[in-house]
Amino acid sequence: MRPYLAIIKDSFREAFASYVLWATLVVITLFLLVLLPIHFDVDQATEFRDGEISNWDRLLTDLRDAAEGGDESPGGHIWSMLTEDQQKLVDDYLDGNSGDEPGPPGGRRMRQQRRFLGGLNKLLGNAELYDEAAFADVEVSEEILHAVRNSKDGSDELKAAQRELIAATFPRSFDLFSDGAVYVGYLIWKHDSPLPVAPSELNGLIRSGLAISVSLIFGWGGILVSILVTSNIIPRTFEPGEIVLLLSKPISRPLLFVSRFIGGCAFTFVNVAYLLVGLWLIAGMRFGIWNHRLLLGIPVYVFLFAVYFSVSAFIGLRFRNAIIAVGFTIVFSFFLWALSFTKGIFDQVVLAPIRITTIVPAGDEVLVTNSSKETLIWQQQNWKPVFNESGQQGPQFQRRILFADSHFHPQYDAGNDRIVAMKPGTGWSSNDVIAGTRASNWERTELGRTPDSILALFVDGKGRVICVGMSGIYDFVPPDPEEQKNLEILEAASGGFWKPPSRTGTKSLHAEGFARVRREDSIAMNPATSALSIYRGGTLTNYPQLEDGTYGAGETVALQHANTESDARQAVVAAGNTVLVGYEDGIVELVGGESREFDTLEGDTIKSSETSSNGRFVAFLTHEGRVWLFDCEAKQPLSIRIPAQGNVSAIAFRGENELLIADRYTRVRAIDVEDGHVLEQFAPSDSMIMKAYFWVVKPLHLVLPKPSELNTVVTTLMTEKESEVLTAGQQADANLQQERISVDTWTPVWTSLAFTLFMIGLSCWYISSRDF
Amino acid sequence: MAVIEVEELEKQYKSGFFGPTIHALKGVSLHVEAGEIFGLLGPNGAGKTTLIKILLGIVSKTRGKATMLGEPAGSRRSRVRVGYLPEHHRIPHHLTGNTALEYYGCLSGMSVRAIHEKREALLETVGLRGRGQDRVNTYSKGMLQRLGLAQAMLHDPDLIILDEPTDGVDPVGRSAIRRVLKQIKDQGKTIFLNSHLLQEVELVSDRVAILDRGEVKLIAGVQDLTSDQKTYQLSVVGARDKITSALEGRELSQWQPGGENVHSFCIGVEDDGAVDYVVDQLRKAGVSIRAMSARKTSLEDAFIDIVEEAEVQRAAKETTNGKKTPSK
Ligand SMILES: Nc1ncnc2c1ncn2[C@@H]1O[C@H](COP(=O)(O)OP(=O)(O)O)[C@@H](O)[C@H]1O
Ligand SMILES: [Mg+2]
Repeated sequence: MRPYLAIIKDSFREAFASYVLWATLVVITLFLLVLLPIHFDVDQATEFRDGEISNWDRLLTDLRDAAEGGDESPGGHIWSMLTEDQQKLVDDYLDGNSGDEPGPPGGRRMRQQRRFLGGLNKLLGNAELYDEAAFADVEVSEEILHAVRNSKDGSDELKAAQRELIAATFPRSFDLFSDGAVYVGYLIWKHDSPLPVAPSELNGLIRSGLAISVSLIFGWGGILVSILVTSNIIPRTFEPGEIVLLLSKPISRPLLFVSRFIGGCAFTFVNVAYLLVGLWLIAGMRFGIWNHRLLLGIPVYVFLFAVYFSVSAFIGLRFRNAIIAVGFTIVFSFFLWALSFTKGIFDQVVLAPIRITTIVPAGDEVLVTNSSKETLIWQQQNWKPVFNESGQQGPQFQRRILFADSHFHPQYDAGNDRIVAMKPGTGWSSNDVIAGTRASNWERTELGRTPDSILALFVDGKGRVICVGMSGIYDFVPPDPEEQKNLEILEAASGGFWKPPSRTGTKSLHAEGFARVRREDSIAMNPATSALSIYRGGTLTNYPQLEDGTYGAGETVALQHANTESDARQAVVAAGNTVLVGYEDGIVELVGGESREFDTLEGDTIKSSETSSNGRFVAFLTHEGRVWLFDCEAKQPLSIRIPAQGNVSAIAFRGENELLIADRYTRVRAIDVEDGHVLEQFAPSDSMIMKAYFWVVKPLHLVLPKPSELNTVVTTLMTEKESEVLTAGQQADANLQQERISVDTWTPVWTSLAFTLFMIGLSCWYISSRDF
Repeated sequence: MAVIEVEELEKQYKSGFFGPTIHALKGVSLHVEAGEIFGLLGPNGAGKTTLIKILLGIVSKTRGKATMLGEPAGSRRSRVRVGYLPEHHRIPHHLTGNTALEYYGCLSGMSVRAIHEKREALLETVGLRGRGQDRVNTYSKGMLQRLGLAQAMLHDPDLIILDEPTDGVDPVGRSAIRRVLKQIKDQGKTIFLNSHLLQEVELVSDRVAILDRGEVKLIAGVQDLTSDQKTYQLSVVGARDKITSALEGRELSQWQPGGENVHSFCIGVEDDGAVDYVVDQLRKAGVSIRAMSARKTSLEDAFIDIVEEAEVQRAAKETTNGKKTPSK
């Protein structure tokens, strides 16, 4: 071991002997010294800030209305304290006049709001604002009342208390961020208006500020400097005069190289460690934020450097020339960046929008929809668009983002030989149901509108379109002939300009006392019995379909896993001949009888479920692209080999035992559920662009390191951010079925590590097999 | 016990993928015994460095056998007890005399403490006293060479291999290095010395080998080469076959024709009595002697003889092949 430690030690010695290291250390020191005097002060909030008034119209209306009732009411009293100018401003604002506000009308309301806010803030320091009688009914704490009564005119205590008082007067119009205000300062200077953050957010702000500045300094500039400075280490070591002496020593050549390589990382290590420890100490001692994760940046950045250094070292070894090594490494890093960018474009703009997200077997044809909510049918060996909104506009990738949260739920209605679906909108739900019959070449028409936002849509055994909304279960009925006639008259009268909202009516099918369904809940229908099962955050209710087609009162079933695991609240229900619940932690629970749990999905997040037409087979699909099959008759999971397991983007049953599986963006395959045999394939031949992706971009991206992704990993690590985010509507109550973009933390680390080890191995092989 | 044993050693360098193959060693055999200073002599490009590098495992051999200190050459174990001073060596500039010794000592497996204990005395031995704190980029060529020597001696090896140790060193420095070599020899170590400078080898070596274009031309003790044999050059008139039959059993060399029946040649003799015998024999055969002079055979003569002879042979071969001799 001793010789190799000596080599590493020599690298440190060399680093400290070079002026460059001292120069970078001086630069870092200066940077830390510049940061040192920054201070954040948290004071009482003494004024209202932009954004704390949540509803301007209501506030000003309330204020003016109160004024009409005299100054005995709190609002009236405040009004009376306003200057005439301010009062006029309110009038102008509410009446939409420009008043004496100059400038273009565009931002006029905004400017009026600012001026009003300024006036209101001035008033806060005025001791006369508080009137015992007028504010008698306003609910505020004793403390505030005490402060309001006893504080000196113009004091900060008075301002802070009166601010709370006014907000309490109009609770519906104010939304105070916090009762503190954060001021930034440098040395003795202090910024006179507060930062737009609450004191509670300050911690997070400083953390991410640190993480971002570190990733800017090291992710880009620092790595480049390190590569430049270290580029000569390997070529110099392998210069004939030096290497011959080293090789004559009783040491192994690969280890000589590896030690030199580790030693080469010394420069980066010293700099990164100095900066991060410095920042960590500053954050800890100055702001009391002892963020130990900041120190995680040290190994990760040294690793990021090592990825590049492995390339630089090999080239330096091969050509014994530092300039070639640097040049090649820079070109290589640009190449990596371009590759990453190209893959991103492919993924986001070209491929993600055409990924199949639902499969709809329609008799002997197959329809699919993709993530930009386009419907396609398999004809002449290709997917042809049908059932789409006429004049659908905007590029696919934009529609994908726009419609990311909206439900579509296309279903085949065999009785009418048509496809029905929820009309996708820019929100998460819709009241409109659309349909298209095969006879009319799947042309999209409006079927009707429910009285409530639809959460799920099914076609039941009677061939009815069943919508489950937040407040109940609905069915569409033909319109009342009377009303229909009236509507037609109206439409005719408007010259066809006005269209009646719906030509059908709806009928409620749910029983009294139907509990509200929220959008994070999961709903499934057993295709064999048309019974509905609804999972509501921890409880499962089964609703049998009665003789008359309505749904009976629900029967609630106890769930084991939902009760024991409090962090697995969200779930997807599957209604086959037995009901199963798949939780977000990948556990599937068999409900009813003796309930059982299966954890074969190894922590995948369940996304959706499907049931075969006779209710015998149930399939769960996960966000990670895996399929889990269950036989409700044998009460056993099916252990067939699923093709493309891990890459599946959509599943559907066709008939009693055929499972359709979509993968590779546009391919659908039908397999036999009993033996996993592929029965039929619907795969358009790859376009040039797909070929380029699958044969060039993707393999290259897989094997080459991903420094920009790694940089993201560091930021993530240092800020403790969640590693998984949802699309546009990222919300706590988001549904498990919504599309997710997962930030994969570890794949870039592993692949980069593999690449680096490969390069080091290549270098070792090279030096072992060479004459020097 | 032989410290170095080389048997039919061959090395072919392949320069580049399509480049020509250079036959640097063409079946070299030699033995170096413990405790001797062995000098390997040869012109530049003879393959001396290649031989050393094979022994140390720095280049791989193509064919043949080589062992060093009883281990197969190139194995890591064989290098443990060896000190090596490469030709044109370069010590990293950020090191000082002291840190360089520490670095190379650790690479030889020594502990830092042991190095610190030996360092001072060693620098004194090689004549670098008081320069240990200075960075090596302030050293002269001669000082670097001495530091290199100190580095090779540091871990007290049994065998020291020196490749052109006096190359680029001034005369004073040379004699200093020679003194150190003698000291090492007195400690009972073996030294293997490479040089293209004859005198260096002649002055310190016990035995020498002459290597030319990858072939060993001669291996002998320096004593034998310098004193035991005497050579006379004779210029005679008479038929060549008469001369050779008259001197049957003696080695004649360097024949030079000097006109009609005039020959000049060299003959090696053991003592003065033998000279009389040669003269008698020639006279008896009717050969008349025109001139006769004694030549002292030094290592230099041997070296030049051998190398020139090889040169002549090669030139002849190349003219018969119709090739042009490449001008150097
Ligand atoms: N690494 C190498 N690659 C190719 N040819 C080499 C290499 N090293 C030496 N040679 C060639 O081998 C021959 C012997 O070289 P070398 O052993 O250095 O001779 P010497 O040390 O006697 O001067 C020379 O012709 C030289 O050009
Ligand atoms: Mg040489």
